[in-house]
Amino acid sequence: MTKEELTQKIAEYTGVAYKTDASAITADTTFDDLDGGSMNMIALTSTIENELDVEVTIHEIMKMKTVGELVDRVEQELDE
Amino acid sequence: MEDTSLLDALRERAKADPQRVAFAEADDDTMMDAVGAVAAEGVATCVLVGHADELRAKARERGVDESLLEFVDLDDEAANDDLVARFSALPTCIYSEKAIRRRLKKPLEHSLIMEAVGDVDITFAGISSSTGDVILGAQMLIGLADGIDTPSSVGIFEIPGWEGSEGNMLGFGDSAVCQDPTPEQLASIAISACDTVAALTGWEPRCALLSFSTCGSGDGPLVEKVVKAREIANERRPDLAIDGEFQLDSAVSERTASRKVKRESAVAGRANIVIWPDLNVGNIGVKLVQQFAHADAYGPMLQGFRKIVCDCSRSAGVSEIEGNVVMSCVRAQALKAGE
Repeated sequence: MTKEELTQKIAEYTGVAYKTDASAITADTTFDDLDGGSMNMIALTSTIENELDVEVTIHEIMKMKTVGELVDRVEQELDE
Repeated sequence: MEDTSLLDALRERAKADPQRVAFAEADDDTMMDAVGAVAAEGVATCVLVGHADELRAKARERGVDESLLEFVDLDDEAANDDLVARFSALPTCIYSEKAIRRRLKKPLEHSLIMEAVGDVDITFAGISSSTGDVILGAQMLIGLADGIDTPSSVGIFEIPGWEGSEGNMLGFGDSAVCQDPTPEQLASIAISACDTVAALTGWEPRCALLSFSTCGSGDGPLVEKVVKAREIANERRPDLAIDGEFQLDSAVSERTASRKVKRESAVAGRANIVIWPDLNVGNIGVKLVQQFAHADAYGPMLQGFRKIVCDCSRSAGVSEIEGNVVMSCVRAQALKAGE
């Protein structure tokens, strides 16, 4: 999967988890912009784990500023 | 927490219908000592979750009668297969089979999955897990109760010399979890607090949403948030007496309420539960009451989940853990009775 495809997938998952338009989500979108809570993060991390078999913890996401950082984190594990 | 008449009464209620409690941290000496006390008293059925051989050894080391305990081994593949099948069949389950199996390797998450499928009634942790981990685990695997937007906490003060509508006792929330609640979250805290306090005390809840303003005496976004929370709470749970916005004295003093609250209210002046508008107020408020009024407090207890999850303090001793188990058991009984 290319980085672009992975970003697209994570944007889709993020859109569903945060109940917002996925087409507006880019690598630069911040989690502050998404304005969600822990239940949204749980929905996002569970989808990533179910679909990509990559476990990202809520604690990790809470430290991330942008969706791009999440994409990098997932990509790193997929490459291993 | 002090061993008072309320706790004694709750202990008798717990013993009358023992609940099944999953202990995820019984490898800890203090927790195992507390498990021994709970089991010997007959307060609850203690289910120890972890590496069973190590837990049995720890029980022997601490002088706890193994015959009073149940052990659940994280590596019991047949039991895990069964758990995966039952947990994944729940409509609330958000995880794939592989993700569930990953979680079954961890005692806290294993316990929560057992609770979700009904094998135990309560999950108990906190002595080695952070509050954040307990809350997140419960959100992920148990989920929030219907009509509730946030986990939160509630406690009950016992204030020497104070005479309120329930003698010297007063429920309060949230002093520990939700920092800056939205109106929806503030409403959720009030609703959860009513249910929790009613389960423990049998009181008819009269819940005041606190503010620096009483019925529009002040204005601005802080007041608007509390008013909005009251509207949401009343819409979601019209069976509960939740009212505001009230200043503290308007909430708990009939004399003040008679002067400041010029409309009908089942709560004003007679509140037996107060809801702080945010965690700043909650934390400071509790400490004011404790420092200046020498109050004791039961709790804080986690609330807002579909089932009962208890997080004790990391520094909790045996008697505090036992008290937390007692309160959790009574809450679990009430939850089942309401289902």
